[in-house]
Amino acid sequence: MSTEEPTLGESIIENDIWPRTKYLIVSYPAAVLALFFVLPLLLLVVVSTFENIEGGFFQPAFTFENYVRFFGSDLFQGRMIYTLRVAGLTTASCLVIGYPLAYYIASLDSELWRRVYLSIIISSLFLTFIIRAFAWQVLLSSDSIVPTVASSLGILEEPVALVPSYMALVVGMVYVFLPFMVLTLYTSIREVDDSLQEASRSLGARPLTTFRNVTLPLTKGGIVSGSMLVFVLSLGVYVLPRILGNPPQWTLAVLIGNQVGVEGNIPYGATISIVLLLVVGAILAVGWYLLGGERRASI
Amino acid sequence: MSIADGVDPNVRDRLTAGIMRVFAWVVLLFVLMPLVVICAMAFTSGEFLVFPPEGVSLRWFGELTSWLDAIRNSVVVAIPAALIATTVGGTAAYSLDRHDYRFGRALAAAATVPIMLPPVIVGVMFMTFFIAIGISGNIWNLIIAHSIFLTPFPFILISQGLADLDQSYEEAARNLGASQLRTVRTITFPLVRANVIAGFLFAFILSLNEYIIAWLLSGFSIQTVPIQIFTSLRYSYSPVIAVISLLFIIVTFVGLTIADYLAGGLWE
Repeated sequence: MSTEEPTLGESIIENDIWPRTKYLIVSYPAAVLALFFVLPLLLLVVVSTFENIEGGFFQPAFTFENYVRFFGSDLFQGRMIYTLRVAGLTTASCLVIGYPLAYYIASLDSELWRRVYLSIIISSLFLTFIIRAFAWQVLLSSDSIVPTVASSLGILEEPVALVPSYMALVVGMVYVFLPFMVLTLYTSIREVDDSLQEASRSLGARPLTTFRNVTLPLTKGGIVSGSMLVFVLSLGVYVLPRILGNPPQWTLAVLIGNQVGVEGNIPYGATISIVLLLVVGAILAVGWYLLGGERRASI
Repeated sequence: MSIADGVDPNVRDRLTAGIMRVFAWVVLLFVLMPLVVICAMAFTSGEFLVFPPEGVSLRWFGELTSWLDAIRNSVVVAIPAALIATTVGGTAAYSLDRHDYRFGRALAAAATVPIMLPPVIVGVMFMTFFIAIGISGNIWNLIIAHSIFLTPFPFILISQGLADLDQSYEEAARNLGASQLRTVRTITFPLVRANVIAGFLFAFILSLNEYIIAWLLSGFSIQTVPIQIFTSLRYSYSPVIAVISLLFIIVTFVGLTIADYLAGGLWE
């Protein structure tokens, strides 16, 4: 598809087959999205400056008290930094595990096996986080297979429960977000022109040298977009810290859920949401800048 | 000089390839194991959720009766939510493919962004909105929230379908005097039908699997399956959770396989 804006004349001739219904058709999605997405989003920003009323309601106040509270609180600042740290560790782990895996799958000659491996990777992609976290809860509980195997190998002194813990949370997050990293990297590795690697090889470079000097630099875009995707998704996790962690493992999203669902303080929940949204937006902007040039259009 | 330099280069290459293969298998095992565990746990004869299971039985399948309400609620939410998402995403895709609008980019953004937002924020956003307009605890709140959250799937899939479509068929119909409505019904829709159904299925499956938005908008009165699983994990921890999970895994897997097939292989 052409990315250039057609001129007015072209658009009338080529696109507007039925100019009279042009605005009629678009009115339905535009109205629904304006009323039920844009308006609620703006309202969220406005309500973050409101006052809380007992019982889960709020009233207009136009105060920045909620923001002062957030940035003045060691607890919330600490959770913010914790959330960024967990997301960073998850992203780095997914990259380190995901790159060799994506590279291996992409280098397979058989299309059937590539499909089989990819199917395994995406098999759990859309399954609710709750069931996937639950699976790890079972696997890591005291009488289960992981602690038992770990203790017989001498990694653990005795088969104790490994959940809830920081480690359980990170394992769960890597498990949940690895598919996003692998799929992004796989697409990027498959796009590399084989003849470039061929050229490197025929000039006498060993596979590892070819990888370092040809494949890796050419897949930088995939690395950046995969990492960004995993990082941004990791920042929003709610279910995994609740099931695989204790309060010390709770992320900002859990605090948002608690403020709104348990404390009934919607304006403050809205404030933390806006802060988290700004962080997500800032990261996407950095990624956008890093990807640069013509790759921008493709994300 | 490292040890590797002393080794025959061909041996070294084969060794690298071997290590890669073993590494890939270990990671794939890590990816597969949790689902295998859930499936196995559904057939345990024991009282507890421990892997490996104590014995084989179907006793926990009988306990599914206490989940029927949650299953019904999940479906009652997911079907209209997926229908709305598909009509909104589909008409947005069609309009943007066929016409130029001054607000075209804004519309495309509004139809793409919701799925990229942290779900908890989407939940808080809709909760705030529905409290502000004075409606809460209604199942339609949840249906609307899910439909907006999931609109990006049908929007993107149908946009792809329309972009790949050869417009000369429609022009032929139009030249032969067909009205726009008739052209869409008899030419355009059949040509992108697979994408429309795939978009619907994606939205349907993801709505079934969504937890946090549902929890925030249910007003603590409507239990969907993920909500009931979450509650059960805290209070009972019975193997019946594995049974309902198994059911969910099957529905999700079948639904997405069909959707992926219809959309022509999303990842290859």
